[in-house]
Amino acid sequence: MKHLPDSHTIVALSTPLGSGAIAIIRLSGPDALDLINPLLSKSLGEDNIRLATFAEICEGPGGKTIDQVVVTWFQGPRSYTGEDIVEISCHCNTLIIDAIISALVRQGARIAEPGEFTLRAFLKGKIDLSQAEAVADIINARTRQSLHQSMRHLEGRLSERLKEISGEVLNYLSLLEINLDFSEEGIEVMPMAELSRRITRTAGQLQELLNTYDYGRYLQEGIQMTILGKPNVGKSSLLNQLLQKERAIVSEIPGTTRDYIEANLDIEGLAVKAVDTAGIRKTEDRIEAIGVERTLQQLDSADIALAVFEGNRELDGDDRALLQIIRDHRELCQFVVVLNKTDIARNVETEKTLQPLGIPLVALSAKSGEGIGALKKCIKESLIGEQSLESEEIVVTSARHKKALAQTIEALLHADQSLHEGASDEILAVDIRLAMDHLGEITGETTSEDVLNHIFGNFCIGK
Amino acid sequence: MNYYDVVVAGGGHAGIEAALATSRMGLKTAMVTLKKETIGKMSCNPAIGGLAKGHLVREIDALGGEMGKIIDATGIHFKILNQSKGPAVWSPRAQADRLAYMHDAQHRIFTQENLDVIAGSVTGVESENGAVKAAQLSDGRIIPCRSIILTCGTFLNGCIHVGLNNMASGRAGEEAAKGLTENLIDLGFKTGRLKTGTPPRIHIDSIDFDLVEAQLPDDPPVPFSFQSGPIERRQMNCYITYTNQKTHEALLSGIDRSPMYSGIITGVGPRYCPSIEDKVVRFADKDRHQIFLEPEGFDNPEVYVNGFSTSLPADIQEKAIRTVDALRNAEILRLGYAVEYDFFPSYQINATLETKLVENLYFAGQICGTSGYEEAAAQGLMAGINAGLKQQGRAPLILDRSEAYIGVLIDDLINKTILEPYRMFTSRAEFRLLLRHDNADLRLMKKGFAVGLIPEVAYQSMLARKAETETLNKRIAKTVITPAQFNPLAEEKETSGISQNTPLTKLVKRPEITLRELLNCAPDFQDEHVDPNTVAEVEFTNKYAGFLDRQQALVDKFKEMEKTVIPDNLDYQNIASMSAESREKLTQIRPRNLGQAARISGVRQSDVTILMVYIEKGRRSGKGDVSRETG
Ligand SMILES: Nc1nc2c(ncn2[C@@H]2O[C@H](COP(=O)(O)OP(=O)(O)OP(=O)(O)O)[C@@H](O)[C@H]2O)c(=O)[nH]1
Ligand SMILES: [Mg+2]
Repeated sequence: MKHLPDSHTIVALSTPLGSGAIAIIRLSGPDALDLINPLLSKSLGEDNIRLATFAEICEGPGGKTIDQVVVTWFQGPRSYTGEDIVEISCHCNTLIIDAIISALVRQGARIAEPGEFTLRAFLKGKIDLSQAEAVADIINARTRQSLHQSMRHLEGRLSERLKEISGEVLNYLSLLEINLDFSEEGIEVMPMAELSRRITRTAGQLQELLNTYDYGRYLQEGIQMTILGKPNVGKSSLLNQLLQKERAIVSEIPGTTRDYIEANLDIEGLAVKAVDTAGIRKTEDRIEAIGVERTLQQLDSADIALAVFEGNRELDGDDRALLQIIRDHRELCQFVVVLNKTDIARNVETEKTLQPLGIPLVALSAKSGEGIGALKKCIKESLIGEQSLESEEIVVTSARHKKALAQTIEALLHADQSLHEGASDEILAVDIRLAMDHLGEITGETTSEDVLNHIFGNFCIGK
Repeated sequence: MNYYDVVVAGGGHAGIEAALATSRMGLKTAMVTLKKETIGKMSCNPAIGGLAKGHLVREIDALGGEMGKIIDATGIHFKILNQSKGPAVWSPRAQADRLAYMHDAQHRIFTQENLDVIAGSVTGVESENGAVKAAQLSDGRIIPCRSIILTCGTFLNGCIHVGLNNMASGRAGEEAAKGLTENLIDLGFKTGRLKTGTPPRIHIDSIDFDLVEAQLPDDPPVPFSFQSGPIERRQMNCYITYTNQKTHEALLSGIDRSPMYSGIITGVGPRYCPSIEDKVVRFADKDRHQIFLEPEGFDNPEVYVNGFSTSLPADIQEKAIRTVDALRNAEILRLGYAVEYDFFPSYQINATLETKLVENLYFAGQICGTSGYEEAAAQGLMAGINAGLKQQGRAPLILDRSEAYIGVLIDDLINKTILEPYRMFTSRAEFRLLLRHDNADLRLMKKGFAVGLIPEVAYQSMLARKAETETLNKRIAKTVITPAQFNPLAEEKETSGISQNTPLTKLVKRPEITLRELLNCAPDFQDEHVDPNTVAEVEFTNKYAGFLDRQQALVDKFKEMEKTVIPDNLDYQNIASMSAESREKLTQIRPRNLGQAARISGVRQSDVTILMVYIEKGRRSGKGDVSRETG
């Protein structure tokens, strides 16, 4: 079924990804304020129309904090689209952006269609009549652009794979429909157990694709990795070891690295931008304090962080400060605990304290390089799991595709559940058709005519 | 000749409904048909209803049509199909006593007030200022009239094929209608050619009934019409048998003399109704095909060999049919044949079935590219109703896809490219769960009553049923069942018991338990008689509540899209940013609203959005620039 833009509140990222430190997410529609307020530490209202307001945004009402943001409410009709708009400026980190958009979708917003903000602006009379043609062009151009994008190798292969899968869904949907529309024809019906097996297999295959989303995004945008730890634990040594180059200055004096240092690495085939940071500790030194501040900022935009401890010693107060930072950030960033300097000794107490965090832990020596291989594997696995990194791998890179896949899986699993509850074919068909509709958002619509064509093409129908 | 408000050309299933509807709406109507004696003849299968088609018949009936009543009076084998599935896809079907059906239909036509039957053939539509003025008959007579409804079935340039022999004919033994197609082409209509087929009929005494499986009718039979009493007529069995390898060899031995395979037939046939030779060629790995033996009445020796449609030569038909064990002595009374005929692709009509080119000219039935009695009757009824409403100066009756299969049918006809004869299937109805055969009255009777085709009593009894349903619904919503009341039933049904008081509406969701069983557990209802139809209705809405709500949400969304009306004068060719294909389709079909535009095959999603921009543009330039007014 084709959809028309409606008056539903819509959300989308309105700045291009990777174009700056700040990303702007736009929420437009009659419920904009009602949707976002429960997520904010400070509600927007009459007092702050058009005023930039600092707030924390969380995953759901009363849920975990995602980020500190600046929100601005433009009350309709005095806004770009003529509707209520809330603009959210957040850190330009894909995890954060995703988390905020997902939270708003959970609240009831819908992801905007290409050109939809402009369309609304036009429909609300915000764009001059003479520009109607231009508005139409934008809708057309955006669609063409996304068409063009989907021709790209990665997505092209994704849609090929999805066509295969949707072919299989069409297969068993057709069998159900034969059962309904041609039940007198004496065509052998599919046992329910087999249908269930096929549905769950499809859902599993789609889930595998969905699992590539993070990897796909990393491929597109690269991975940000931060090395954290108190001074002198060997962070710079670790960077140099990973880089196989003396990039950062190493010395026995704590506080050697004052500002952050970046280096591009290849870790098991993944492009990683690693950042060596100033050690984290309580400090009186102003310059070093600024360094610590920036270290924490770095963490906000990181996909993964290596938390370095001295594995040969007991933990001290500064180490515990880092532990607290890990606890505060672990929802938004992957962590790997590195126990360095284990060439000197291994402190059992330290290991005992760090193990229960439930974060992957690697013991190594940044000096000799022993254990570096294990660390690389661990980094890759934390980021993308067991995926192999052949260039032919099919990956999901767009949030829209991710959403469509997730909805497809949900519909299929719902069908399977109904099946186990003894629902009959026409009921199962509701969900399987819904699954086809969601898949169709990526591969193109499947109409009831297509289902019939498939039936007539493959089964001996007709008296 | 005398003036008529409406001239209906054709006396088939579409023509019958159209003529009865207009005459009952008070319009002076003439039915023009080649032979009065063949009005209501079942030219193909002697059955009414079937999957999805049964829904159509119930809807025709709820709107005040005749088909359900005729079959109730003349059916000899009633059966509700798909009873192993959920109630939404149950569908009534009945074998008719073919001759009785025809005579019953004729009786209704001949005794109808305001309706005259004229023997003849309409060969021309006379128009003035783009509107109907008169109907021209082949013998030169002219009937001045205001509306014409064309329901010519397969008669337009009909050509029957048996093997390599063919002859101009609309139906075995009857002449074809010539000239009308050419006249319509002159008026600017586009035409195409379709094909359909029919199997041989054999003598009932030549069947070996020891070698066939019997199919029993439902007992008691359930009538189609909401206004019919119990079915009294004696019932008959149908029978099933199968083809075998020898049959297939016999058929293949004549394939070089098949009009299909030798390329003589150019019309497109329906893929859901292939000939037996087609099935054997296309599905060579199947070692047998099902054959239904359908008697055509008690006093009629003919048996319809359903599943054995063929246009092979006579000798092959006979040879092949006699390879079936039970039919080894089969005596063919009438040969199977293929028929090719003209149709007018249905993008040329509006949702009222009125043609876009000529005002007050309506098409209904096979002329629009459909197949099937029920599809034809549904269109005939709607064309008749709309011709009548228009003459009465009233708003048209257009059913949407969420209201009725009839809505789906007509909407598909006007928006889809029809490449083969169109038949209804339940899978075409996206809101299938809402469109049950047994709630057709609740969905539609109010409209039929408003048109004037439903008598007051029938309407009142529907309202009473509706009220009873609502009351029961309210009562069960308040009913709670205790473990002591429920658990004995649970044990009997081998389902889990309950440990605390549970709302009845929750328990009814369990597939293994019926509402009636639950009512028997609840002291409030235990001894109360509630009409089983009411119980069924309430059971359905409660059992499937979650799914129904979801369908309803989709319906709401769909209706929202129907609200944006597209101005009649919109020039799609001016919309440069729209794809050429979309522009062409939209120009051809001229949808009434955005929802319809979105359903047209070949129109892109983004182009629908662009269309929205242009509608707004048109609206604003008509009213002045809104953006400047509101700032
Ligand atoms: N034995 C041993 N010494 C190490 C290891 N890693 C680092 N060191 C030594 O520890 C000292 C600090 O190393 P850096 O790499 O400068 O430490 P850092 O964490 O970058 O320190 P700041 O930049 O001051 O925060 C140096 O003297 C290193 O040689 C190791 O694995 N084993
Ligand atoms: Mg350093």
